[in-house]
Amino acid sequence: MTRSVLESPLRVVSAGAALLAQTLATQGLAVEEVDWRPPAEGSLELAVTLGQLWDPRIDAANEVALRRVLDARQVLLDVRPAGEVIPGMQREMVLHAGPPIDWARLSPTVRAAAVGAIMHEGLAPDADLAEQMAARGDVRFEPCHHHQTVGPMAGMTTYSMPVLVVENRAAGNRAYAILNEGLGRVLRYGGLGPDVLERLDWMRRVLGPAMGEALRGMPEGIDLRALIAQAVHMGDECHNRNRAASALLIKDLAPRIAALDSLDATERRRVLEFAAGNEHFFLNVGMAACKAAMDAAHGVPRSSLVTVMARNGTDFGIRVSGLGDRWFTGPAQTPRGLYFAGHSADDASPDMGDSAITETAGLGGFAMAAAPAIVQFVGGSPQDAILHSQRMYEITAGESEAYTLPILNFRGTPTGVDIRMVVQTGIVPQINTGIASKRAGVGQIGAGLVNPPYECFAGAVMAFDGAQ
Amino acid sequence: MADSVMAAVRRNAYLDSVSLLQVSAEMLALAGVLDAALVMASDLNRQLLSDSSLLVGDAQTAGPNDLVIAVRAADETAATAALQQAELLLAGRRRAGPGGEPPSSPPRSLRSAHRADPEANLALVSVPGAYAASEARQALADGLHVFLFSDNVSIADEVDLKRFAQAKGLLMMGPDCGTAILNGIGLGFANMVRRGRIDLYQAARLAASPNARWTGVQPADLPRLRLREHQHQVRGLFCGGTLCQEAAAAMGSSGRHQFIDFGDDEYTRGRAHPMIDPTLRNRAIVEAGADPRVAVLLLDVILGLGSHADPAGASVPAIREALARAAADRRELAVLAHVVGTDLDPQGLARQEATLRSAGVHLLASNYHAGVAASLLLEGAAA
Repeated sequence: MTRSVLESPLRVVSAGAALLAQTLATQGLAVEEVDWRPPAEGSLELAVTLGQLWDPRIDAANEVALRRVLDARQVLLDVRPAGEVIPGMQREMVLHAGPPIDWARLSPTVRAAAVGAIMHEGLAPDADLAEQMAARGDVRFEPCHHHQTVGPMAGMTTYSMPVLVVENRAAGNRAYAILNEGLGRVLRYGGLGPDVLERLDWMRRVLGPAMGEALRGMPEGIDLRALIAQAVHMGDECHNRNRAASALLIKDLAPRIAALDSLDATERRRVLEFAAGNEHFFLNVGMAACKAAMDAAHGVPRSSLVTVMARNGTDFGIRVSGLGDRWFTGPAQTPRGLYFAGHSADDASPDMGDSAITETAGLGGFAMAAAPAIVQFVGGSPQDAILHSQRMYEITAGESEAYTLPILNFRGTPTGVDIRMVVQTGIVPQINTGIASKRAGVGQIGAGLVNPPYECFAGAVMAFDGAQ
Repeated sequence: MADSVMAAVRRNAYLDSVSLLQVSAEMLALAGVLDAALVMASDLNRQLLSDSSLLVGDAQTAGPNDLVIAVRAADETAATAALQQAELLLAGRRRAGPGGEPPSSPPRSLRSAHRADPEANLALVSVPGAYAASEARQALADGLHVFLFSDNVSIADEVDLKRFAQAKGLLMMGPDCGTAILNGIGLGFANMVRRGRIDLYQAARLAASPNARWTGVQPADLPRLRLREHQHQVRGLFCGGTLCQEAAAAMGSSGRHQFIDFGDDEYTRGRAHPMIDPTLRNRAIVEAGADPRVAVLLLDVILGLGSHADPAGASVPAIREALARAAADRRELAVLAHVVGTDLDPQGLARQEATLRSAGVHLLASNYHAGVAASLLLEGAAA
């Protein structure tokens, strides 16, 4: 190797004084110059810790974890009641989005959703009693992520709710997610009222069983890896934009739904209308697919790749492949975005939901270059969409082999956030998100962009040092 | 009318010290601007700001990771305008090159830069010392040879980096590696030389005593100094550390003389090397002129890639000032120097030498010669 540098032409990468790079350029040399800034946001202790983590063993571990993400073959197999399929699910248990949290620290929006979930499950007859049960701890609250599950926004998942069953054929693991309720006043945004509970009841009685039966009639299930790849080429990033993916999913399901003998014609039509009327019908399916890929990558010793990014409306939390079950948290931020008529940033709840699993797996904000249509959420230009994706390559270990960005010459989407690169560059993941009202019972008031707090990654790097 | 002094602070901002120097120069050229400084607020730089009465406002609480933009102008309007202009100049430096389609931004880490050019085989690292070991380690982990220009790197880190590089079969040049020529390409500060075959290149330690016969330096070639009482010190003010040591060795050991290497770690924390930024050495040159002990001022002037565009021209005002101060005190002062450079260097060896001679500087054929000559000068004066 030492000989090779004397035998092959010099090609240089440079970090630091621009002048030194210029003198090489003067000599006709190709120089790739780094736009360098001090790492660790000026914390010397953290910078020193980071400096010890440029270790080939960590890179090798990340290769293993990344390979598992890239190799994931996710298939939508079934829809079943949560209690039948989710490991550890119990009747008096409510799963929520984000890292673990005490009832006392829950935001009003998420509490409203929890109350709705408890009532939906028939554990309490009214909202007051539901709230008392929750406050007393008569209902167990646990993160979806502790049960191979993901839930959008508040993420409330209860025993009898129908959940999507996604299998990762490469690693053999499964992941679960509830069905998407549609837009407007819905439980996941803390919307509460008879209309919300009626819809949830219909989803449990009719929609879930119908989808389950339709899917069981497809022995190979639905290839989600292929479906997402196609949707990304149709302008979706599969987090804030799911129009194409939803249409593709409905295209596969519709003939099966139409042929169901177990439903009368009115209900069959209602199922199809419900699916067709919800441009985020696919969101939860995509989230389960991403969860199935990321769970396969979790638990690789020494890997510094992020396998979970999730928010509960109070905290933002991440998990790291080589750091076991620990969460690293910081305060959830308020998204920047576009608000529906009559709402403003003052009404916004801090960031919530497990849907950042899409970014964790290389979609959502990371695939923004595929979805220039949605940068209008933040008043951005199509160029901004491209720059968003490009910036994410700075902090990721690799590129998707399935999801590609046509405008970047079909480069794979940036995949596998490395906590070291976040602390090195100060670039935090870009997350696309819906915005919930901070007041209970209102629902969605907009959509936009948000970032995780930097301290999640700083905390993980400090812990990583001790873990080696 | 009283001058207006203003300072702005950018917390946790970073721009390399050379770029900061360039922006300072552009600010100084603005109408109404009397003094300007853009520096990272290290202890040394804060002291320098304070000495220039520029340590005002937020700058007083700034730390080593903060960028201070300080300006003294004829009035408040000019000072405000200068600060705004500095922000614009800084923003301009951050801007990426001419954007094609699709837009792109420069890489933000060595790893990312290496991805952008997978054929790269060497990393040039010149970030502040506290961060340098981490960057070098990252580059080595990615299979790159490293030229580590940064100083202020601990011995423990240095040993660790060398071991890591050795295990990976990579070159680890530095830390504090100022110059190298690799495959005919000059890295860091490098003189332009003609290519040829070098079987072995090694810095040889020269005899540590003045040797007029060996150097051929004749006392007759040197100025005759009439020295005052107590005026018997040689003051060596150097940009190059090795040059400083070499000259001191040529002088022989004596506690009387004073040699300062302005490229040493303590002078470069948070500011550019004296080969680029002559401020600190120029200040010392002027001080030497006013010091009654100093008989001979010994300097190095280094040309080459990366060096100041006109190092001779940049030091001449200070040299003239030093000579003027000595003369005002009726003292004679000899200024000896060697210009390290080649005829291929961009500054032009002949031009640089002419500039120095015109200021009354005596040039010697080598740095070692200059040390010997300084020694002979003192002897001659004493005789």
